Amino acid sequence: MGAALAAACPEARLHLDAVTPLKVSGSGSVGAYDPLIGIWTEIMAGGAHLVHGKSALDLAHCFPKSAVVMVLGDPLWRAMESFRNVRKSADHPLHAEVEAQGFTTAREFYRSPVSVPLRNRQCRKLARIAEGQELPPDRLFERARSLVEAMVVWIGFEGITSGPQPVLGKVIRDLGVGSGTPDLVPFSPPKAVPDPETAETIREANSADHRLWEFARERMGNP
Amino acid sequence: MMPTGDNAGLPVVGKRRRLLFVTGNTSGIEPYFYLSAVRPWVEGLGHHFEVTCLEEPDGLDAAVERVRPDLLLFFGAKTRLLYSGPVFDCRARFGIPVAALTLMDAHSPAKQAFFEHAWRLGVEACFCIDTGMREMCGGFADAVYYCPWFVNHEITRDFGEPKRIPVALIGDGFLSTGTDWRYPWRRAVAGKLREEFPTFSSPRPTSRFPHELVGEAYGRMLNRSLLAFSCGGSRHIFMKKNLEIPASRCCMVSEVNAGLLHLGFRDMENCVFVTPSDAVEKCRYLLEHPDELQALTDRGFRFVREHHDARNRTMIAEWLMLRLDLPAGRRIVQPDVCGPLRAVPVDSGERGVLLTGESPFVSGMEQASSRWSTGDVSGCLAAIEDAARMLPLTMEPKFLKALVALAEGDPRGAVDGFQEILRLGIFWGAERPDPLLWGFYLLALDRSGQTETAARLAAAFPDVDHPVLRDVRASLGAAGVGGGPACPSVFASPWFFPESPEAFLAALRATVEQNCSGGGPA
Repeated sequence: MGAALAAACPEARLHLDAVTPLKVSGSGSVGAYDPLIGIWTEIMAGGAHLVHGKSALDLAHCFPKSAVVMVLGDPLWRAMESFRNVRKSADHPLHAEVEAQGFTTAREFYRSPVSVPLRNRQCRKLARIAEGQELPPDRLFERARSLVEAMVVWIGFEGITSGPQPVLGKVIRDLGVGSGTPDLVPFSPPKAVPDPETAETIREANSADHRLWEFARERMGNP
Repeated sequence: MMPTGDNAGLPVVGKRRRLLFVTGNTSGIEPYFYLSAVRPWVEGLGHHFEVTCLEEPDGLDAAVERVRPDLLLFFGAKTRLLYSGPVFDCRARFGIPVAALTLMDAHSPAKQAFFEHAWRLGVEACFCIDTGMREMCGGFADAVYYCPWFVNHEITRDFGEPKRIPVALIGDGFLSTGTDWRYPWRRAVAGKLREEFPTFSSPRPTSRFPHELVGEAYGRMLNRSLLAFSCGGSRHIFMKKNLEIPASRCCMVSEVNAGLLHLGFRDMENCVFVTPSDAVEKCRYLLEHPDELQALTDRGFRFVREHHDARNRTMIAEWLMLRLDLPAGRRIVQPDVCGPLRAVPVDSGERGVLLTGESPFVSGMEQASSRWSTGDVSGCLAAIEDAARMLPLTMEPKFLKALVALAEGDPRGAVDGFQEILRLGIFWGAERPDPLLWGFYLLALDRSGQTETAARLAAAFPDVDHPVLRDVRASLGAAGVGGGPACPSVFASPWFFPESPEAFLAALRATVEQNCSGGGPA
């Protein structure tokens, strides 16, 4: 969504796709200027800023006054999309393993431990769990939930018609970084609807994401 | 000094003053830490004040109007203050004393964020549980007062548990082969203890690796133990565990340090002080003499309940009493942790008590500084590495290393070093840079050939000012930026600037001019 927002709202002051701000030790540079410090300087210079991109959530953790607007994906659709990406992209880290195991269906994939790195991805991202680190689903959900409660002011839902445009438009106007409602393309559900058994397998493998989805919808009044 | 006489248990304040305690939003605090560390403070202040808590970020003006407090006290847990509302000089706006209470370690990378936030809120006194903060906060030291942990009766008491555990090794650092150097003494004793006695070990719970031994379960486990080990870490500070163990009617075994002595702990009177070489012998003696151990344990139990209860923590109330009647030309000092505070002339040389000077970390920093001042750069860097190994995220070794790089002709290394500290500050919520850090960072950028960037950044943060920063800004064409009151710096310490930051900058410039005129390095 970051790229779409950047296109829809060129006045947005900070685009963060290229910044990886949170390696707090060992910057690895050799005396080069650190862009994070520039971003910090600009933000602290006053006024409100709208930031977006891959690093926006990381950056929000740096700034206690950040208000996060989040769009949550349907965990069932996201999981199916993840499996489709693994099969489609030869350079995906799990592609070779999936080919070797001969998985052709999402049900086979999510039944296998091979899928562990792709399970509960939304909770992992919110809870900032690094690649290769694992938490039991209950703890993962609790951590993501507490972060949502602490930081997230509004949640949009994939596939729900009252999508993110109106609220993002209001945010942009309130912050004074733009004037209109961004013309975003809403998410659309995958074409293939999973059979009940596959859906159940995916739900079990991604239980934290499913709990997050239910929690978030309840919080927003079950849109 | 033993906490008897003046400060032996009753509040010194006759009339209970009104306190507006700005806790901010505490919902992000780990539940176990909230129960064991935060809630006791909220409740403990009630012994000395009529307390009104404020959590909402936007209600400060209305709350002051409603409560009409005698004191505004901001709260910080392990990081910066939890208040997230508008920042302004509260002392000027409300005309009442303003203070802060922090549970942060002085070696925390959040320290600079905490102090700069407190400074902008007009905080004039910071009450700290870390009994080594004064050695570690540079220009803020005179505003720091110690208000150490006290017994939490809810989770640490005598539950009547049967004594089943001979030796308990609770918390981090008891692995003799680990990589954790924060607790050098624990590393030194742990292996020998494990060889000689049945021990129970439990790491400190974290958000990533929580466990069930927290709250009352933790207190009961200590209550089941005969001996439990603690220490002051690599900085010899007074720890919560130093009270939790005796308050659970368990005998505390510790390394001796100035903080424990100041707080009244005495070997074989109310605790056991051991060294790595006599730990096994003293523990064995006590385990073989259960009556003696029981009597010692009981004395420790009574001691902490009588002298280290929330009622004994009168420092904030004392400070307020002095502050409300403070004549011009006087300031308030805390000569001893448990002794009374008193007002002294502003120009008096008397300073607050210092307790951690002989700790491995502080000695290491002093050694690094002294080696550098004698021209032993490699010895200085080795001492910095030793200190950094003990507390890897702590800013002081990083700052000294960057400063050495700047002075020794490696500005790019200095840029890296200062940036790492700035990143840590940003990560922990700093909204303004430390003035000395910012000044020397700009200088390092300029000297590494990034003059344009340095000039652009020199115009930023006009409300951050300091004579050194003003000087650097002027050299970068931003002479008009700043001009407000000089901000204190957490790095204004003799570890970095034996004479003064200004003198250091002048010497640095003189060296460059000498090099430019062919004089060679000084």
